[in-house]
Amino acid sequence: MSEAQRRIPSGDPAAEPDLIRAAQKGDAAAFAELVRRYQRAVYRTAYALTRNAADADDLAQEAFVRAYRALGRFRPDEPLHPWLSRIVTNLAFSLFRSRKRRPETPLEPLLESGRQWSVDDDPAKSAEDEERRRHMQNAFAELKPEHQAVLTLRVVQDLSYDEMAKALGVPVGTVMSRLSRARSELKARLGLRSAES
Amino acid sequence: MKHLTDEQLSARLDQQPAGRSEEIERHLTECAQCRNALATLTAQDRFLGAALAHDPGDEYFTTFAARVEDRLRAESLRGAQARLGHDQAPWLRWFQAPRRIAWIGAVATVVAGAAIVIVTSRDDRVTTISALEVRSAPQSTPTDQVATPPTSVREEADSRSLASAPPATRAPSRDDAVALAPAPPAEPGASPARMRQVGPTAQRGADARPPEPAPAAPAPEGQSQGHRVMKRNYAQPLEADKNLAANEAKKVDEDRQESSAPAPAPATLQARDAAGSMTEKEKASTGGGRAPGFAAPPVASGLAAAPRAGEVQLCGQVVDPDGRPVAHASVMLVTIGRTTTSSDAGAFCLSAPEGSFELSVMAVGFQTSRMQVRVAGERSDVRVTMGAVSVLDGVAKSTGGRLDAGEPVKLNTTTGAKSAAKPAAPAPAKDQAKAKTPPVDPFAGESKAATGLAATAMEATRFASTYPTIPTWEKAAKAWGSANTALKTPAGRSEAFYRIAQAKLMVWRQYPNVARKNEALSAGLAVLAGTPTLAQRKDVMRWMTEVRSGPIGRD
Repeated sequence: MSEAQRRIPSGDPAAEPDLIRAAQKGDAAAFAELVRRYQRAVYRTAYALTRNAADADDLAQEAFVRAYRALGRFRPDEPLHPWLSRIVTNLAFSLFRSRKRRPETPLEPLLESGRQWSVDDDPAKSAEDEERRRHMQNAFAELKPEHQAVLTLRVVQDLSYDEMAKALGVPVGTVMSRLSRARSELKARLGLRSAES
Repeated sequence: MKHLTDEQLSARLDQQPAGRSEEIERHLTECAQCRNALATLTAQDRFLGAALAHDPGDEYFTTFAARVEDRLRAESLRGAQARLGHDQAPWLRWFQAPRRIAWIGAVATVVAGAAIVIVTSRDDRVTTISALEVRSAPQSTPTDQVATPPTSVREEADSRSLASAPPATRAPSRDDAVALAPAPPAEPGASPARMRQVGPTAQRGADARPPEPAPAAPAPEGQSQGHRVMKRNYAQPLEADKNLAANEAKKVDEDRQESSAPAPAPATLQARDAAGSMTEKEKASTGGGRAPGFAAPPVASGLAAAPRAGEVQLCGQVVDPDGRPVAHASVMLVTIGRTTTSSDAGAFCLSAPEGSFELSVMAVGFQTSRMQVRVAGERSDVRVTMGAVSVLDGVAKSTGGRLDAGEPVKLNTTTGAKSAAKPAAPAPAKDQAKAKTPPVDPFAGESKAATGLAATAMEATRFASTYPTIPTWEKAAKAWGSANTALKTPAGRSEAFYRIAQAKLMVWRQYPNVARKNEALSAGLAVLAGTPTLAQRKDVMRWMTEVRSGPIGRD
């Protein structure tokens, strides 16, 4: 296989299975292109599940490392997005588990000092009230991991029920009921929190 | 009447078949409670999305893939180092881009350096161990030999110690024996072996130097050339990729000679040269390009950090609609992820390669401004006029799209209310930085009781925007109503009327009906009848238009 054969023009959405095949054969450029295509999506999920930039960065990178390793087992014609979501979700779960055993100090300061990324601020963050954001984040953090995951995939990643089923490895019906429960839980918690305040 | 289940509402929200039956739709048109529940869920999703969102910025993502690579490489390097020469292993292509080679080079240099230090400073020991290895190599591992040197060596050592050391230092440990054991016969053979090992590693390190990331194009050339350099910059990976047809390669060479006439140091080779020189080098060494992947494949150029030097200054000023400077605005060249923050005078400067880019300017209290800018010549100037943000744009704007109900509220005077409530407490620097410039506190001249009420009311508004329901917004409107009775200054009263109008609008949005429509409209009129600020007036007029033209439910 020559270099020319394996080189895929970047940015062509139709070429994704080809990119995956090329990456499976060890084409680093193809894999890098896949990384570039999904880096934001993966980071978003990682951030939603960890809610701090340092963990999100770590998780997102690690997700791609895992993806690279496991790429050989991936069927190129499957959509990549749910698969990557699954990897990052599982990584977040194991992070949760390890954190439970060894509790971390709250990572809130990282968020606050958020200037660690050269970009001054992000639009969503600067455009809205920090307190409201925290309020919602706290309520979300109290949810069970699987509820967090299902909400993240739906709300942050905008995955369809089918894709979520793939990402979570559960039937579509389970996705539906779990999502509904997660929403009710969140609503209840927001209510609870507001009752306290 | 049986209400919709949570699951039905959830499915309806996601437009799932299970939530799209005629029956559900009929129920929704009839049942305000379920409609409200659905609106709440919609808003909740929206807020959640915003609360969980975080954009580390374009610059973060321009280097992201490279960092993934670094991580992959770091993990596979351990096993990979021994096999560095074998280009046929596909995964080794990871190592063939300049960045990677530079990285490996750095590691190799350290290894080589360490090896040299060992060879030179611990000469005795090293050669001795080598000697031992050479002597009994076929039988056992080197560690075994070190631990239990052959008796002959030990005896030899002992006899040496006997001869040269005083009795007190007799009976040397095994280690001593090893250290002391002379190995003249093996030395000539052992050293070259070690040298061979060091040699290629060092060589690789040296090779790696020139393409050292240096993605920056120092570009000593003039403007006219600058553009060409840019083009070359982007074109290079592709050309390199195609293994550079002969004439293309020649052009690169010419380019390079032109621009590098003042003989740049190898370490500061320009990015475009990195690829160019690589191919050259390969040609020189192998007579026609050995590994195509070696010549900076797109992955390398794409992954490298954005260029910095040899660029054009793009300067400008950020101003509000009245021409006043906007400080602390976040200015970003979106396409290439360059960012900066405007000064107190609203001024900013960014360096960028020549070309056309999208400039995005964000400042709290203003709408994000996006425009195409052309960067050319020695210096480009741009003036950015920010549009005042509408109070209701908030999250909906940043996440795109529109809410059906319960659109979040941007609390752009939160800081003012807070500091009014606690005048003694200095506002944190961050808040000040974030506040709209110049910061306006509508409750500046109010009594303590009034500011307290206003703060409470602002709290209610904030809460309602967090959790938008009809009761929370009604509560907010009521709180502002009682604050309004205590407020005396025109600015304070205007703010209170404005907040009431906002709350009434939100209530109407939750569930439009004629009564709420009328309340929202009269609250809006109350604002306009007072002394609203420009921003307030604009918002209120927009809201009223929305209410007038919006749905009213069943009259």
